[in-house]
Amino acid sequence: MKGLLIKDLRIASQQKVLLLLMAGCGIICLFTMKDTAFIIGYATLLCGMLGTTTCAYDDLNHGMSFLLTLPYSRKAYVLEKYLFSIAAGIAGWSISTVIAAISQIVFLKKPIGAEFLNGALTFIIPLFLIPTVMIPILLKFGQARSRIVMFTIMGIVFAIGGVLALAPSFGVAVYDENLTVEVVTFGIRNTLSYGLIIAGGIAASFVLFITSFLISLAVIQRKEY
Amino acid sequence: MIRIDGLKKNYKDFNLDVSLDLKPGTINGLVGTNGAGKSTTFKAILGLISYKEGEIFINDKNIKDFKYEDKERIGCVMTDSFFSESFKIKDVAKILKATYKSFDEAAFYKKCEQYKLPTDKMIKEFSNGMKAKLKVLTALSHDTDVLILDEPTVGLDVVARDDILGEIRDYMEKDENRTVLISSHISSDIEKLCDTTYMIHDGKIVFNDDTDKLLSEYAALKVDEETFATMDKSHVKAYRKEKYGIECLTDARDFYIENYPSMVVEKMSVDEMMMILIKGEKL
Amino acid sequence: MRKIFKKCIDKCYTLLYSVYCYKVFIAQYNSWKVTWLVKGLGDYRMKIIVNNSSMIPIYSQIIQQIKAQIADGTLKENDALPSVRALSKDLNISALTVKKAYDELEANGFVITVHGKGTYVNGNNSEYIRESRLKEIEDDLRKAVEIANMYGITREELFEMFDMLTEE
Repeated sequence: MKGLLIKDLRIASQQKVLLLLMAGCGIICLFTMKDTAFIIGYATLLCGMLGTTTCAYDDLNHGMSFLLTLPYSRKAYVLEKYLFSIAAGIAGWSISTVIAAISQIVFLKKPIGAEFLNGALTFIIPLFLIPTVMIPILLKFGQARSRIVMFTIMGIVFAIGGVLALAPSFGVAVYDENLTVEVVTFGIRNTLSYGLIIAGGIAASFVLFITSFLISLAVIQRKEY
Repeated sequence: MIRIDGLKKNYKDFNLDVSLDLKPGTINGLVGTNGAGKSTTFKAILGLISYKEGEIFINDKNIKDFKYEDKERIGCVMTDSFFSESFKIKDVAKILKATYKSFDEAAFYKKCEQYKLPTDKMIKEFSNGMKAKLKVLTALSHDTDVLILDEPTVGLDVVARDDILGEIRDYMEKDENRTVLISSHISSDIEKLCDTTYMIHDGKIVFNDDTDKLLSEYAALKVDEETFATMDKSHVKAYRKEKYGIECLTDARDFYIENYPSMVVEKMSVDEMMMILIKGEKL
Repeated sequence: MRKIFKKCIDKCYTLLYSVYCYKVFIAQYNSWKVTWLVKGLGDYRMKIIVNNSSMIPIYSQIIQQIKAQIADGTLKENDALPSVRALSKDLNISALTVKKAYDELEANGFVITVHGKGTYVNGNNSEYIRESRLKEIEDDLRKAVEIANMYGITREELFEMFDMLTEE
């Protein structure tokens, strides 16, 4: 897999615009915003996307055909993508967390407590979820069509959400109105510590991550290039 | 060696039904019109597409059982697919080095220098000729038993073509048991380089013989309608109606030279044979 | 004392240096010798010209030209023919064509292929050379007979001449 990693690192290093954006944003956030958690989220998101970006690049100009003539098995290809996604995401997350911590101590003069850690750890969930969703879609539909697929999915999600939100005004009882989101989360918060919730969330997203890997394996084994 | 036994694949508007037997130590040409099934055959050999019927063997091993070490022994050039165009030669070299145990880095760079490939430009800034040469050099950069080249000389001028064909000859000289399968639209490439010629049309192999037999034992007979009606057609494989009369494809050139001394008998070429087989009728 | 010691050291150095130079020189000379020898041996003295537009099959043309070169002595016994691959590269033809030519030459006794080493001119094709020489002599004799007939020189006179010549 070494060759594939080198290839993806090269692609990642070519995302200069991305890196500049991150650096610039990071610096601005450090000095202007009080909410240091923003930089962690931003960096994690951008780095988490690196894995999927390499998938898109591979698919450009029918590149996948040639890549699969290299001695790497299709399984090795998929495995490398997921490992790369985690590695890139964790790298981005760690660096930004350290920077955020330093900024919090130095500029806001607030000590780092459990709250900070909890906030930082929350972002590990999207770190797993982004590749979980994007990589199988990119593999199955290719770079061009997956954009359409993503928009369609988001559209459907919003549509359902919209319908659920608007339904009561039409007199349809979809759920017990008293059971608002705040009530639910308040209830969970009271019964479990925040830390446990985060841990649960990370575990759950990791499980989904592994499931996504298996789905991607199945997709790539069947696909013709 | 490369052997395809009864490969069958069905598409919407096209069915592939191909068998090939390429002996070690030979350069084999595959010719055919666009859409005849050349690239599909290549993709099947390279494991890029699935097939319900048929088996493909490289070096006596079924490609379905191929491991990493087996795939390392295959080099290929594809028409429309290569590394990302935003890479430079040194990126390609790094990836190849990490992928193939037998990658010879010094030799690769030396060849790139010999062919004046720019080391500091991205592949997307290369000319067509440079891209083609880089693809071929990549395929030749590691030790292989088999080369699968899909139109490696397409769009190249005669000098560049000669360079690339020379590289293939050098490749064969270094190891007697290597096998090359090359496809080309350029008749002279096949006639000068290939030991055997396969012709594919509509997904089927319509001709398969030694190239030098094609050039010496086959011939084109140009006759008028009356002669065609009365002549001995036992050695005529196919014919095509032309404005002046009828052009026949025969595999027994000497027979017609001896028995019909006034008949126009022309040397056969790959292009000419394709035209008769594709546009003409079989006998 | 020191001076003598220094002189000794200098002499040693000079001696060592001259031994080194000598060895380098010998090595160079040997490698030159080998290159020269190899060049001489492997010198491609075969000039084969192929006519792509001819109706004569290319492998036939190769066979004809090699036979001719053996007959007129350009190719001598035990000379190495170029390898199949090398010749196919130089003539821009398929290796199979060259192999067919070499195979037929071997079948007719003109060359011998040693597996792993190459193809060499067979010493035992004197039959063919002999026949070529005989044909040459026959042509010349026929010319002589024609001239004799033209000037009315009799058969007996010709035989006398022949006896005289063969006695020499």
